[in-house]
Amino acid sequence: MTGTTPNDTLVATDIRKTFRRSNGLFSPASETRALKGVSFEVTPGEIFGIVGESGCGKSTLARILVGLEEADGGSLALGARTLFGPGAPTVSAVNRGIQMVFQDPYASLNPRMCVGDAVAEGLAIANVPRAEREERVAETLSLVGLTPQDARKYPFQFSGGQRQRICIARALVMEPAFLLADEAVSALDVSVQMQILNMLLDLRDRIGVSIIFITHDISVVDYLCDRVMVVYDGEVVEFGEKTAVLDHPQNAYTQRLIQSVPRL
Amino acid sequence: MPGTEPAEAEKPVFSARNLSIFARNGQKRIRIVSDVSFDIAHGEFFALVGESGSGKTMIARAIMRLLPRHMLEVEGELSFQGRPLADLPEAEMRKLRGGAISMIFQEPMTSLDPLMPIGRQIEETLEIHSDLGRKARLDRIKELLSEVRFAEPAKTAMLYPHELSGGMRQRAMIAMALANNPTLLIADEPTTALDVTIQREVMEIIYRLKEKHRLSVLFISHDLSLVHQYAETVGVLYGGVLMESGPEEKVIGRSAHPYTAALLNCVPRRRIGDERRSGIAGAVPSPLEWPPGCRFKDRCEYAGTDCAAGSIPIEERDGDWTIRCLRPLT
Repeated sequence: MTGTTPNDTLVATDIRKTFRRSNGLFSPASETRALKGVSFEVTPGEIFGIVGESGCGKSTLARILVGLEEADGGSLALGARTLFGPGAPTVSAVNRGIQMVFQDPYASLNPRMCVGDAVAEGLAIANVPRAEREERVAETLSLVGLTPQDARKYPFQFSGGQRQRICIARALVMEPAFLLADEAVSALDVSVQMQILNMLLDLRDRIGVSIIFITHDISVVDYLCDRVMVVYDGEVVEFGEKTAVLDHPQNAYTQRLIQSVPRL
Repeated sequence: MPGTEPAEAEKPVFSARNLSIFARNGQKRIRIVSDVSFDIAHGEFFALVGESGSGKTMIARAIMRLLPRHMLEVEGELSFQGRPLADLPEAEMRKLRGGAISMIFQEPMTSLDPLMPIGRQIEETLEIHSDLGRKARLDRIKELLSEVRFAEPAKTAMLYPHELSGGMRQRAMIAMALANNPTLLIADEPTTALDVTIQREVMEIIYRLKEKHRLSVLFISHDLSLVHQYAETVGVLYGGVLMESGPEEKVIGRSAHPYTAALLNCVPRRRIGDERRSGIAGAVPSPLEWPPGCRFKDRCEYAGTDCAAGSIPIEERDGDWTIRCLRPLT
């Protein structure tokens, strides 16, 4: 439906974003350069980690990738399709084949919408017929470890971990090539965090979805990811195989970051 | 002071005996902490670890008596330097808070007054708890701010909280907590909202101050790696029950309680091949749904029918290690 196949590589080239803030009539506007030209590739079936501390621009990047925010420059392509870039029409968020999971499962579900409707909403926007919607919602809920009967329940009836499963189902029901998780396990208890990490690993193995995992937690990257990109102050400072980056960091910031992580 | 130290080192600075805490909501009385006992010695770094809802913050609040009695009821004994805290009149308690016992919180921005410069906020605690004159107070503020590694303490004292970053605010909070040379510092998830590089800075400051002033620290956290790195003694809470407690190298190093072991199994680290860390099935139950007997039994892979039968006795080992389990792993 989105025209993408699981075999497409996501290529981001020189993505830039500057936020301007007005300081009133008589002062010049101030500028924050959130992304200063970020380029990377994510290959099919891979779990790609984006690490950085608060304010480094990682969430801005996430919002640009899924289409919640517009970049000032650069381009993004999925296989042969240009999602945005100079001279190309910008593909809408629904049709990108990249779906997002947010940090706080309590804030990202509408409390007045039953789980089935929440998960089916994207399909409805994409004009999928009702019968097919129900079928796909049931399938996807089973995929994330919930039951098709859960579709009739409301968010308050679920724990934090289960809500995050619902959010993941809502993203997966669109059959995206890429799942983009922005700090998706940070708000969860450690015991539940491990359940969700294992589920993401299983999903990649079973349905071949690629995962872009944005986090500040190096130990989660070590557990989950294949390759990792370290972002500092809007720039990529280090990039490569997880083992290489974490065991032999070259950049001074990456070294400091890794040294600061308490180890068990 | 040095002359009194040997005697003081023998008896604990803080002690909780059979502490139970109940939350009151109208007619309802919900038990949120059950029968918890632990001691903190002079200069000891004691960590209480647990997932959300385990009761760790409630214990801190009970010690500080931060909630009115009609909302939070405390049973059992809490004593500080041999004095029972429960019977202390509010005026006495007020002298202790910010004096001999001080506390730092998770989100420094909500604990600082946004309309008051940092230095002035520290001065307030000095005015209340000490008899220093204006000049001596200002010197003390500078001394405190440089102790938490502000390069220009005089300048920092003039700044408002919004002019500081998260890590700087937490350091300012620590300076304020230390203003009156406390004996016990309660730190409730002080680094959870901070980046790892800043977390390290803050932890190093707390640890250095503990070493320098022989401060006792009650550190509340959900982060086992952090606790492993800094704590000398660890108490593991689940469902308001102290599951295991003792020296760090025993509790974390040789965990006897299945919950402690399972919790350690939830800490992410590098996988080899298709390996998966087991984690713990299910979720932490709410205080209204705690099962009878062992609170962890429904998620425990070693549980048997006897685990549901009734209250689980505490097993003591080596005089410093307690385990509340019928089927300890070691």
